[in-house]
Amino acid sequence: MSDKVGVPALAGPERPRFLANENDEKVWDVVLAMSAELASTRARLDALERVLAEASASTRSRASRRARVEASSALIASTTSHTFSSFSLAKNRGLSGPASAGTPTLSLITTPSRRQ
Amino acid sequence: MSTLLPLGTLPQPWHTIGKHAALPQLDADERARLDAITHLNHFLAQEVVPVMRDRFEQAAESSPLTARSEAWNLLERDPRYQLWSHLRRRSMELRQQRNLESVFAQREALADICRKIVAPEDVLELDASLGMPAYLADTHAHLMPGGYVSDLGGHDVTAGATYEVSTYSVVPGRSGPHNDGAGRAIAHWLKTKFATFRPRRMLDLGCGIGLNTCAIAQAFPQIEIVAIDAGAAMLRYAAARALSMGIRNVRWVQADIEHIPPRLGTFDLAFTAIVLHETSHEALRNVFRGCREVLNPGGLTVHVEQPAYDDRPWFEQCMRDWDGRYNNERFWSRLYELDLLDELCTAGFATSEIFEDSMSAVPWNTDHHAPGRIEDYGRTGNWQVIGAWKGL
Repeated sequence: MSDKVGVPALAGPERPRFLANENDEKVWDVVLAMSAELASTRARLDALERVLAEASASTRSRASRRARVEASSALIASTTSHTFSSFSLAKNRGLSGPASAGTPTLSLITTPSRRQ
Repeated sequence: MSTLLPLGTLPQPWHTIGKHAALPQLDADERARLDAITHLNHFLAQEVVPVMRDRFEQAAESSPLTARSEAWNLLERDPRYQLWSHLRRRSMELRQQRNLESVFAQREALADICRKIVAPEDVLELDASLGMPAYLADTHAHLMPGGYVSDLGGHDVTAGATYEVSTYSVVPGRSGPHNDGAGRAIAHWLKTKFATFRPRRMLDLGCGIGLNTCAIAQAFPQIEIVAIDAGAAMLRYAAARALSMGIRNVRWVQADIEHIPPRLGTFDLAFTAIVLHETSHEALRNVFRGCREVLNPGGLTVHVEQPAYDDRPWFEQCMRDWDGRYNNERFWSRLYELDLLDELCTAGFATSEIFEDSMSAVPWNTDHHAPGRIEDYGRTGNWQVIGAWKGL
């Protein structure tokens, strides 16, 4: 198999534009990529903490596979929710109104609260 | 055996996917990134879409809509929709790019694994002379770079392996560990709806990597299934995947579903599973006509697809239509506007032998843990069925 083979890095045709300002789209692309990296980092940290916890708690029963699947999924869900929460806050704050009634809050990063 | 979460709670992590010998290996970081993108899609569907819908419906109250184009105009003015759409599109792109990068890096090892699995068996027929349908070659469906029929040559399986990784995370994981919800639903539907129907040969048109083919093959182990697709890299992967899962009653044939090779013989059942939206209108007509030609007298053709738009609310129509506009599903919107029963009639099936029905994925179609969960339109296991019997 040749090293020269290749496939396009990006699907065609040209990307559609959704936001009025092209630079806003670029910023959101960076945010998206960074949120994936953050999730990756948290997954590594979570794995280390589990190894340490299981090694030090010999009397505790090991977490079931199901529990670990749920914990893994919940971890990423909380990262996503913390990262993008401002995107859906209008529902909870009762801010929803006609589409023409002002711009929703698009500010992004919220500081994750400390979880016990 | 994978451990799965109930439908509607949270997306299945990547590591719950059903394992087999040909499955690409993702490292911890790749899995975490993929899971993050999957969760973002879940978040966009469950948390943001309801807000968009509320705003849309409030706005529509003041100016009633009469056409989908008007609904789109209204929706596209909402800044929240603009951002939702941007993130959804980019998440689809990012998923495909990352998966392709992972698979591309291990393409030689994967090709070698698949070749060794398939070589001793006589189950794969490739046709290097096959002229690729332009509508397939030109379309990077679902934003998969290169599209479904790209082939890097040799024993390449890149497109097939990328497809499996991507589809599991798109659903996400809710179609079962082997992502075969439609296949299991078809098998269950056939056995319950037509309990006395005893097909001996089945034809699966547009099998891809055989996700659904394998489920049907497992449900009907005594039946010979011929599965055809235009993509060689898809079929190499499909054959290896099936064999490594112990499935040997499927023959994988490279062919254009518009022109079923006569050498394949005749069949008692000819079906498509979530394939028609990938075909042009002209191709669809040829597929229906071809099905009729290869069916034995008393044979059945069945086609399973996402539900038609019909009279669904404008907002839902737009949400379903999004894939047609922005996810490289060129034929999506047109298909769901068609009267498929009429198309079967045009293909020569008798009106009295044509029927429609619905089916849902089993057993992931109920979830007591998440009442009121919002449908991620176009990705939920509820489908329409159209079919016809060929007279004796």
